[in-house]
Amino acid sequence: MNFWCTTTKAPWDWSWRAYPGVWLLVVALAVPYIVAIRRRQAQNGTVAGDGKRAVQFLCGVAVLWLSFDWPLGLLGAGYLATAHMLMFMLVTQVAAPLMLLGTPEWMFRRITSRLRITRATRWLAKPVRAGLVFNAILLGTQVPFVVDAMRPIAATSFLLDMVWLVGGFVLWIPLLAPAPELRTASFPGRIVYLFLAAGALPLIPGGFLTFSDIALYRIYELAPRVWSGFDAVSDQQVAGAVMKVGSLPIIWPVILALFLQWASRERGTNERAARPAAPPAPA
Amino acid sequence: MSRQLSRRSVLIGAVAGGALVAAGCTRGDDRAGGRFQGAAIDPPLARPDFTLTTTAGEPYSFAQETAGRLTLFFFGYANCPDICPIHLANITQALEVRADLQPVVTVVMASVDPTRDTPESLRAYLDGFDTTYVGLVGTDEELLVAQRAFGVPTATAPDEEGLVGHATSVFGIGSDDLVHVQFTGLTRQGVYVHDLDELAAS
Repeated sequence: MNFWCTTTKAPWDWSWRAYPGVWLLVVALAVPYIVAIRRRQAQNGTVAGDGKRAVQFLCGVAVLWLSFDWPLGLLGAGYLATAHMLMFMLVTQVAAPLMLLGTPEWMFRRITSRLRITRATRWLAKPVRAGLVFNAILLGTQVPFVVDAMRPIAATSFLLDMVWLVGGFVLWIPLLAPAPELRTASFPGRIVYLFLAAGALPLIPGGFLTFSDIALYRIYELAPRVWSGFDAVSDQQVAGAVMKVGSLPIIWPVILALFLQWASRERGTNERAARPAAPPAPA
Repeated sequence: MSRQLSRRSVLIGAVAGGALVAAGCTRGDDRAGGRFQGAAIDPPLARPDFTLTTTAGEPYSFAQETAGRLTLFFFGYANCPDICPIHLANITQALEVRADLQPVVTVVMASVDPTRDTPESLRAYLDGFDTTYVGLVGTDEELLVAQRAFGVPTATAPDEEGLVGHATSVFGIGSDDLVHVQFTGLTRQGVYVHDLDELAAS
């Protein structure tokens, strides 16, 4: 039994397999979070939004579980490039932002301080840097020789998945950082950043996968087929499509929400400016 | 500051180093020094001569029917869970990339599972990849002759899981009627693309 999903040469079947490393990760994320929240509430009382944040964080952890555990984790580790890309999308576009949203400010500051990454976080929170680092992670972890090298070994397969999670945090920090000073202040800036970093730049590597006429990933090319008729090149093309457009259902609603918030704020500013000045109080 | 940078540098270096070590541990493709990327057969063998039966029920003398043609031949069976469909998929993809070679290449699969692979079922299986692929069936004795002609071990009968142990190589035969190269069960499409060119030049 492997502790993490890794490439196997066995023909695919739908029999369940245990990957205890995934369960340990889920427990290691969820339990300390719940304990810390409860302790804080015992000391300071319940704060508005605690319940909502807990749901967000635990949903993010649940998405991680879904991504890394059987069947999706195993399919992505050794059978289908499409599954590999779906895992990447779920981890970076769903789990990471949910976990950020669900992390209270005090917890975020405590974690970054204890891990001594406060300065690094502040540096990465700048949109251009965050966008470049995220896309470097995207490219670096999707390059065929890296995937072919890392997926067959449980330890490096785990490392690859953790790098994705970090990449997801990096991507969403400029928008969702629990510490307000790390968030990009300007609405147009946030919209442009999200569009470019998560929407536009991934089109390039996605194009390579979609338009290649031979299979690029050795592990997926030589894996026993999961479905006859879904050959390695077709699988790769679908994976490329997932990379190109998979984030759109996430980022476009976020962009729309940002745009509406921006419009609302501008309207509020204009209304306050248009209101006549209050008459002076009588002497 | 310098202590933080140093710790960060060590962490980055460890991650990069680990990835490089892992890359080094990866098994490489079939490569031989020389013109072929598959395993070159040196000296090349003469095109084997044996007779089996096509999926249309007609006798097929392998040496005569494929004489002078670039041929890819292997032993397999339709219920093969891994190697055979990978061979067929990768050969099919390689021939799509080198569509110019399709008219001059004959792909032949001889079933080593006569109990389950009827001509009809073998035809249906191969048609899922390419309708021009030749499927051959035969009796145990005929298959024994064919396997010996290629110098491969005799296939086993299906076990309790229905798996048949059989030679997994694809043999590449040039238009000069010589068997130049064999491809193992883990041969990539790019290797076929490259070696088809070399076989075409034979």
